[in-house]
Amino acid sequence: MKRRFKKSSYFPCKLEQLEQDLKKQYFQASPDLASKIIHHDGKRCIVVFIDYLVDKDHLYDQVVGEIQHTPSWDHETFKDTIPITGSKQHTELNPIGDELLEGAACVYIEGEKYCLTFLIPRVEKREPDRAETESLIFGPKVSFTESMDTNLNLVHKRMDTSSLKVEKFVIGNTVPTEVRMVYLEDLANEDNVKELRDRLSVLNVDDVLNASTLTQFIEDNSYSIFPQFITTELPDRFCYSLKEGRLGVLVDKSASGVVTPASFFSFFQTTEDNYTRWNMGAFTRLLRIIAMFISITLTPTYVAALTYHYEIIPDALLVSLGHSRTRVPFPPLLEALILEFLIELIREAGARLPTKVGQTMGIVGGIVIGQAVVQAGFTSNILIIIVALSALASFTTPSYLMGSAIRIIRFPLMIFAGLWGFVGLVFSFAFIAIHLVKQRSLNRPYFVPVYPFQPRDLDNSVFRIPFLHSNKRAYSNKPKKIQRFPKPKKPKKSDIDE
Amino acid sequence: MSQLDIPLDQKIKAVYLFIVLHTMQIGVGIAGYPQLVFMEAGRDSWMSIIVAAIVLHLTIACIVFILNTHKDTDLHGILTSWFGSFIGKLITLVFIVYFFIMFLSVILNYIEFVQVFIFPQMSSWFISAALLTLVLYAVLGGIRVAVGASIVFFFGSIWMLGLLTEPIALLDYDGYFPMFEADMRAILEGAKITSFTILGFELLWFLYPYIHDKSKVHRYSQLAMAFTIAMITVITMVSIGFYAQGQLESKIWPLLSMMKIISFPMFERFDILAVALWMIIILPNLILLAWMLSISSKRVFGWKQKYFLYLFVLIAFICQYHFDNRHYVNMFTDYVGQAGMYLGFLFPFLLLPFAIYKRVKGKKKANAKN
Amino acid sequence: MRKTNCLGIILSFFILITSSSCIEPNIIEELGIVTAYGFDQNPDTQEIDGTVVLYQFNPDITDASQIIHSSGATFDTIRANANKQSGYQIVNGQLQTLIFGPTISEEGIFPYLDTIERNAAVSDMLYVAVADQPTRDLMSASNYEEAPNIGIYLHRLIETAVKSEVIVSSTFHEFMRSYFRVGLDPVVPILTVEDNKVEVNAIGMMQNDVLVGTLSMDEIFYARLLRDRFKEGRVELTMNLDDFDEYITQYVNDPRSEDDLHVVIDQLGSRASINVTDTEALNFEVDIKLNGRVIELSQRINLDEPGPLKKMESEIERQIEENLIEVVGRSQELGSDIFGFGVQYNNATRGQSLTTDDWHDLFPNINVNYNIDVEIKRFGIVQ
Repeated sequence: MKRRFKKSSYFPCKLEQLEQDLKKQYFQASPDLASKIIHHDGKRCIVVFIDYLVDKDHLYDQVVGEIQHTPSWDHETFKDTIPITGSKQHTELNPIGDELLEGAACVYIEGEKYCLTFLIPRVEKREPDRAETESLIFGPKVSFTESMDTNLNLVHKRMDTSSLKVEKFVIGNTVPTEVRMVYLEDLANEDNVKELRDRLSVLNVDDVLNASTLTQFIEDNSYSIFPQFITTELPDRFCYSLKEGRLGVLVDKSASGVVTPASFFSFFQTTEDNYTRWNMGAFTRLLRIIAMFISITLTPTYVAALTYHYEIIPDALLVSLGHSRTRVPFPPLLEALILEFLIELIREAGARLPTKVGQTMGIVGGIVIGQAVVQAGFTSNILIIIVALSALASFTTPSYLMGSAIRIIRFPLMIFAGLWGFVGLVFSFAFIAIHLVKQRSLNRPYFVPVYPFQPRDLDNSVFRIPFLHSNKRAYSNKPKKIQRFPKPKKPKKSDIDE
Repeated sequence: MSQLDIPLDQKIKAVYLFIVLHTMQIGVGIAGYPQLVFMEAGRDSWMSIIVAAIVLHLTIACIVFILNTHKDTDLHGILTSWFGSFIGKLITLVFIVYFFIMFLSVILNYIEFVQVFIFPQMSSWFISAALLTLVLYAVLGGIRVAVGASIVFFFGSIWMLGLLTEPIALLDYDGYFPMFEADMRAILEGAKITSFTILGFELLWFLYPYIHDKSKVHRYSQLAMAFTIAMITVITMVSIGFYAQGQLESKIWPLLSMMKIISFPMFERFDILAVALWMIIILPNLILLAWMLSISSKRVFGWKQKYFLYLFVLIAFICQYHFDNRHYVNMFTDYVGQAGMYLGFLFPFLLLPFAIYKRVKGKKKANAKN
Repeated sequence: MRKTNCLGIILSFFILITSSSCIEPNIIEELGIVTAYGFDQNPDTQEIDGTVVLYQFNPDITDASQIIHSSGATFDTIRANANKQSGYQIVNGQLQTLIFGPTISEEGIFPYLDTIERNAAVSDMLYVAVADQPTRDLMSASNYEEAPNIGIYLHRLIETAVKSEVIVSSTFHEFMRSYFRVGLDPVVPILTVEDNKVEVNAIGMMQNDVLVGTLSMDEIFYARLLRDRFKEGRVELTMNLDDFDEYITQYVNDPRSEDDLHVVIDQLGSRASINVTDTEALNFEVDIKLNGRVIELSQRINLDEPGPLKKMESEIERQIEENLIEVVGRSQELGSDIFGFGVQYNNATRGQSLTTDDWHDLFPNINVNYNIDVEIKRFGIVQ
């Protein structure tokens, strides 16, 4: 057998040959591989690129334009004259193909020993816009975009400090995606950082679709209904959490950031609570927690009371409840399930339809169906009030994931209440309580500050007190520095008229 | 074997002892306690409570003294190192049986509450299955979850004490007079009854090695005892003032009956919910007992804790099915009380001389070294 | 490992849910919810006639009220028999009023209350009352204002009277407590029908659980004065006009009576304490402190001056004492200690266990001294 001489380099070659080979080897199917041949001083030069991946402005102004204006043609000169930073030399064909796919233009002067590539990718980005899912009234409303550059920029702009650390990971076998872990080095707990770093680097999946998908790969308990990492589209909230000593994760091509470790109560906070005055902030924060509680107890209590515990109904309500129930052909459990199901239908249909139609849908569903359902004797009108109230209450939760979890939990609760009355209800509450205690977020307890009981953390998790008095970061995140600022000196106590 | 090596993240803070020991003591017993003590000591029940309280605080001091002699080990470890492996295992086994009967009696009592107050037709095996499911779910999470659940349930139920203001508004102060009528014997009998109710603190024997800051164990255990005593005093005094003598004597569960008058604008009868909510008052008992049973069995027999947990839950379920009758409920409750007198109150004092001996010897050794 | 745990939990859940341990539901519209019971002893048979007032919900009839008559030897049989006449399951969880007819109240009502106390479903806050005619007639009175049914009306009627401090409260719990307390007898409101409408017209004095006598609405004030405490009570007294002759600023011709002076006092606060002065001789001393405001005077008297005010106060004291002596005397005759003298006696005699029967023997022989102190604080807006 003749031992073939292994060609050390593909180049030099003919321009046509190069174009042919590239097309044949990598882009058979693609009609988009474009090329342009430029003549000068008897020399020929080819520029190869993929039509839709390169920035046309850059290509014509800075690559083709510069080549045409350069008097002496060789690759060394080109490297200097073409003002694009990422230029590379290649002697093989294979890497050129990969570069082209990333949005590079390949420049080759006939007869040279290597080939040059310049990275001029075209990136479609949108400008940072108002946040859609987490809307605020009072705070900054800008949201993350799909571009990692923009997002990092947004984060950096908000935290102009050298202790902001950004670690890069590339995750995904089929489609590698850039993932950044962001934290403040002088605050974030090292165990947390190490844990998250381990989880990200160990992760071996084909594809991270999005930030919220990533959380599902790295969260502590995938079976739980409760989200364990906060997903937010507000850079503001993201940065606020980092300043509390938490860690953030940004995923390329994803318009939301992930914050961890999260506690159950942190899902009921917004940054707005901090922007408003403390009394309003405390009120709205408590309101949300009460709303969550109402949302999960109200309908089950109705079901339990009407199915088993008629004793508890006040006599003023008894008659009207009894009357409206007489026309209903179903047991209370089924009645409540139907109505809750109806509400979920309206919500889902409203979400899927275009905004304008969605609004109409809400009105049609809410008013027309609601009226008709009562008149047809499908449900009692008191249940309509209860179901509407608990649906409304569930929408006060700032985190969409947590809100959905609360809405879904209601169904098993209702079933338990309908089967075993208050005993079933208390049973399911006990179960949820144990579940919450059991839960962890990035190996940190989830149900903090209830358990582990941290009374010192109550000031900024369940309540909100004036900043003068809450100058500490949450203990539960175990930040390196607890104190945010030294406690201001109390003014000297003086008499009324002094 | 005598030293337990517990990783730091499994240890709990001593503050939690306050709640854990308190919730262990308060359970099914408190609902019927005012009647029982009233039957013995009458209006002077508070004197019985004081007697029991003194004994209780002394017992706790004694237990903590013994535990402090050896750091980082539980009762089993102490017994093993003093008397050898056989006696250590034997006495731990006695405790396991005792705690198991306590476990059963709690379940049986709760079943009775539910069947008498809300659902006469609800089958008992179902209630016990529900309870055991929760116990299983919590204990599988380990000591951290067992303690955590107790704390969450404590906060979930302690507010009910505030509802006593409604009966307090209806108190008849004439009911407390004449005082000092009971004789010494009656008061001691009452104290004995009280001691049955406040059992459960024995868990400290087994919880001790899991406490992170051991120096505070004594303080918080005593505080827990004081809180329990304060609570049962309030409940008993309210019951005595709320009911006339003959009335109180005829109520099996004065505390639950008292809840009957509590009503809210949208919630006319609180007692219905109170009985259901009693589940979260007894769950800490069950969870902590099941944890203790499984961990101690592991220390005695050396298999996996998980298997013991499944085993105990299964046995409890079968036993409950067999002993579902008021007669057995009383029997078990009495057994627990009788055994508690010896295991809970007497046993620590029996061990005390040995602990003193060990300490003196330890000191001598230390001195000799110096 | 986590996976197997979770599966185990899910599996046990599944077993729980699919298990056959379903409980009999009490769905509200399928229930006949009783709000009041009336009991009468049937003179012919040994049985009790029960009148059951209940809610039944019917989509076409707005009136949810329903009255069923049934009879039986026991409370539960009455319920069960009533259920034979109703397509609804009759339940007692919302029971608010219990009324006993004269035939039963003369025999003793405790046996019926005892069965109710055993029943965990029944509230302790229901009112116990006695009717002066068969409850069957009383409960068929058709005028019950805006209340959804007569049971609720009766409850509201008694509740209003208790709240406005006209009668002594007798909820089930309070009745039982008085019944069981040595030295105190229960009181019950007495209901009657006037113009097809039920009203409270007296309170009944019980000896243990037997009705032995009644106090009229005027006399109730004195019973309540000793037994309870007034916060904003009201009393009307009639005095001899001659005593105030010198103080009258302007004589008004009163069509009611020429010799009487009518005084109404409201915002009345009171505090009474019964003390035992001699346990052997059964001597009691009652200290009563009263204060209130005069809102009605049938003649113009200038109360702003110390003279007439003192006179008025002492006159009120005298009248109250007279009335008290009469009311207590009557209760002594009837052997019903509704004031709680026995409780104080029991407290004072430590060591000997007094029984209810003992006290009923002693009670007629007690002597009571009254110290009454009346203070008139305001006189309305005219002098």
